[in-house]
Amino acid sequence: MSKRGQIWYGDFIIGLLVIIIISVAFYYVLYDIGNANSEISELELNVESLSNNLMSDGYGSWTTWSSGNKDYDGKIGLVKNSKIDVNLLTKFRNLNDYAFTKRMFGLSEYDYSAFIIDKNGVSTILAPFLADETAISNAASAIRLDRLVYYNGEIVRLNIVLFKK
Amino acid sequence: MKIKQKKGVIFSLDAFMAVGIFLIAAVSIYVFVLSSGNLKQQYYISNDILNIMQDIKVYELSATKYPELAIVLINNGSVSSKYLGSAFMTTDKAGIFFNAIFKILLSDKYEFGLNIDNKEISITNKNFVVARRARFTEG
Repeated sequence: MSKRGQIWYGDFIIGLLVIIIISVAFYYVLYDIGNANSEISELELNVESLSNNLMSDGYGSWTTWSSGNKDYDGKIGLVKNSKIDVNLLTKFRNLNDYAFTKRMFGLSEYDYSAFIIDKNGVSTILAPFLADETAISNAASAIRLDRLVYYNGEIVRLNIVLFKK
Repeated sequence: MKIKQKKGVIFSLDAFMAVGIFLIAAVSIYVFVLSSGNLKQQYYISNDILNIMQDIKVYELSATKYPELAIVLINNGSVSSKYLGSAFMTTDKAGIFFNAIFKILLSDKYEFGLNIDNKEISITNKNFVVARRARFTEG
């Protein structure tokens, strides 16, 4: 009597290989989704925090000097009662120190920028020392958040961008 | 031999079909998860609109930038000293006014409407409402 195998070895090996490949691929897909989601969440949290800072009226002198060293004092904020305060905006522009403002906003891994966009779509960078759209377009990842605020006789969009080079 | 080869083909086909189904499922899940957004932007926009309506008065808006103001203020000059929210409640041109200030600012991104005291100030397509914010105020 000839013995008959329950399985065909070749097909069994192929099937086993396919299961292993599917399992490994499935694990990497889930891992990749998890990673992408966590990076997006991180960006979202930081851009919200940044926008809330900019939309606040802040406090303190923002800069303080001791023994010739510049340190930060208080919190940067540009908006009072839904209006961009011109004095605070001028004070922010006069800081003219991007790295310093990053430290004040608590941004270590990310870079930021902000634009004022009017109803005609005309975009003005919030301060000259911030990154422009060209620099942002070359970023590895970026997230934008729009806030509405009064400025110069009209309601405008304050477009805040957080990006990673 | 021929019978064995046929059965082998069927088992291999099963395996390839399984791979195909897995790929379709994985790509679908991937695309769905990454493309589904959240409502954070809508939350902030609606919050800012409500704040602006409470903080900004009509006269603070530039007549040059908002020619629609002239329509609003005709026969209704007292609206000028009111906050925007109160102005929307008292003028019958509220829809034009609201659209001129807010809708044009965000028209390429969002559709939204305003409803004050169950009165539609600015109309939107109700079938696609994804977020709604409400606030108590007086005026």
